[in-house]
Amino acid sequence: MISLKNIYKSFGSNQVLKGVSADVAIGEVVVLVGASGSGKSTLLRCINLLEEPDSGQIIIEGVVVTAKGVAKHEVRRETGMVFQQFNLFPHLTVLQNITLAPIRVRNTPKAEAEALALELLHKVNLEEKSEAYPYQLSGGQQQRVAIARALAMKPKVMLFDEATSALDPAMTSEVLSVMRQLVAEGMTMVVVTHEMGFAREVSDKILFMHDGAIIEQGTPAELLQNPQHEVTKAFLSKVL
Amino acid sequence: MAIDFKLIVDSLPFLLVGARTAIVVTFWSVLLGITLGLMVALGRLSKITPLAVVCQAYVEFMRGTPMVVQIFIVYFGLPRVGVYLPPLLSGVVALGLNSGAYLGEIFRGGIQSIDNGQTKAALSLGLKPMQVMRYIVLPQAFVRVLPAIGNEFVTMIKDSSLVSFIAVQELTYRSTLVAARTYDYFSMYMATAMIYFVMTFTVSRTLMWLEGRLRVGD
Amino acid sequence: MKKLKVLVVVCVIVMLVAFLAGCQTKKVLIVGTEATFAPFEFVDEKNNIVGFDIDVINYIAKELGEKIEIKNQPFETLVESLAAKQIDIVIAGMTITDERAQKVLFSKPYYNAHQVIVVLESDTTINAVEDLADKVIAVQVGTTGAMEAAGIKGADEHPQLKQFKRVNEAFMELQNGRADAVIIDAPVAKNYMAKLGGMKYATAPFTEEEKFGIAVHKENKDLMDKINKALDKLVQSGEYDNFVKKWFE
Repeated sequence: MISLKNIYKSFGSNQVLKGVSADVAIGEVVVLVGASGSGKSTLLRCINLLEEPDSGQIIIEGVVVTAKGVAKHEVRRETGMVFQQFNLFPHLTVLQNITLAPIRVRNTPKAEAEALALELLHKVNLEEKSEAYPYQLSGGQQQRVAIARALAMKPKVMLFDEATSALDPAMTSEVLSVMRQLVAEGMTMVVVTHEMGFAREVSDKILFMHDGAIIEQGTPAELLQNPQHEVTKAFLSKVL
Repeated sequence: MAIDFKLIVDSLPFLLVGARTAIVVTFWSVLLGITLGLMVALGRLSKITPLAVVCQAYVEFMRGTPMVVQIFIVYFGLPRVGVYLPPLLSGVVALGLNSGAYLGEIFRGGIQSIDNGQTKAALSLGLKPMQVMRYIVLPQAFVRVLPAIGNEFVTMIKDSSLVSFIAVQELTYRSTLVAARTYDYFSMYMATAMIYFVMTFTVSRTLMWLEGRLRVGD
Repeated sequence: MKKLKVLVVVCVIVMLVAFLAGCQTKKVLIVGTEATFAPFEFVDEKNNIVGFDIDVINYIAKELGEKIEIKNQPFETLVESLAAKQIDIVIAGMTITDERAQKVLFSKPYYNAHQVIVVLESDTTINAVEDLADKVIAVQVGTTGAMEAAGIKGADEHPQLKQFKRVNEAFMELQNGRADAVIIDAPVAKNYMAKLGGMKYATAPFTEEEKFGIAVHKENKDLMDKINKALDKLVQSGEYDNFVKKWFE
């Protein structure tokens, strides 16, 4: 479904991605791991073109989205993203946060968008907070709203960028349980995380990144129990 | 030198007509300033270099030249190239152009102060850049720059006195007329100062209250 | 950092000395005027304030053995400045009026002038004072011309009466076609008409001759006596005629 081909990306003189290639199949849950600075977040952001690759191709459902003339906003509305810092819109209520994009981007009638939003809030267990403002919510609640907000666009794939890194353990488990639910529903997901337990439990494939390249990949069983590469071994011994 | 209260009371209705004109000038100037300021801020932040340069030049020029000179250029200068604006409109145009430069910088600061994560999140939902600006960045930036807009209003009420130079019958012009007739500058300008103060104080308090109400979740 | 401190201290001292020096030379007589009233007082190409009045006051200063300093400020503030003792003398083509005479002390008249109505050459509609009733008039605020205009319009704040801080702005208004007429003292009108072109008198002079006077603070009778004596001498010596020739012909 998603195909990354030989992606290069630099920020100034700092080369962050050095020819990364990877594939994500429909319904697959792919986890990106690696030390901070290894390029995993940048790679994730390339998928929805929040970062533009310097070279290489990104193909989503047969469309080369890195090609000239492809409208980025059209690519992005099919790819939901959840951020480490939640990034809810502070001037909008929870309900408005969720309905904004469907109404403005998909031209969904307001009533319909709100019905869907309430359904999604029910799903993330926050329907009573629909009229609250983000500052009135805990971090875990905010992140669940952020997930509902992304889901409201009915994306084909969900991208999670260290979605639990800013949360304490209790809140982390709230968010992970929502993510598990998505996995159970068959959502295609690409997840950048440090939660190795979660990765082992739900992922189909783990990609290990180091210094701008994927140096090792495999099923959780292969990669976590029997890492081949020295760097992978060293990393896993620290986080497991 | 005593204040002649009878003179003040007698000329108060005459001065208040001028105060109303001052408010009209201020209101339209700031409105024009906000409109221009928004355009200038977006222009300066745009990736189209010539546009950004033009906007910056405009800001630098308006901030680097005296307001009264700008008023003279609009009122006495433009007729030489065939543009005849009536005094009140000339004043509004000159003050609005000036205000636009200051507000442009304020808006730019406000826009830049909004966390980049907001833009990223909005883009990731499929909003176009203009939509991101309109629905996400500007509403938040606006609340943040509201105190500065309030200041601009207060400044503009005071600066509107400069249009007396082109014979717009606002407060300062009218008090000058009375003073020139009665030679009682102290009484007249004390009264004028009080009227200006009531106007600026009312505006700043109103905006403080409004700001308190709008500042949700920031 | 230390150097900076020294620099600041030096600056403060220099400023203090300059300030004190300024106080020391208080013996100068400050003469207030409004320098857009050519040929009585105006700013020449070299940015000096010159004119008939300036020659007169310089002559008087020499007679008095005093140094003077010319201060240029809005016309309508001159009387008040004198009353507040911010300036010592006013010479500004100022007509002696009863209202002004209540505030300040005037010398004997040193020049007589009429008020005239100036219009654009193309104008055919203004041929008498009465024709101004529905026309836009531009004047300088605080002048006798402004008082005449207010009399015609019935109110100082009449929308068809535009009062500017400076004479040249009133003429600019006429030239730009935004005023139909300017009311001003005849010698000043003549000067601006020659300079700007395209203008004419609408009528013959329409007021009685007004008398220009030099003004001082009411308490300053001694100074006024000296000024009046100097004025007499100015006329007797023939210098007065020379000044008239120089500035009005």
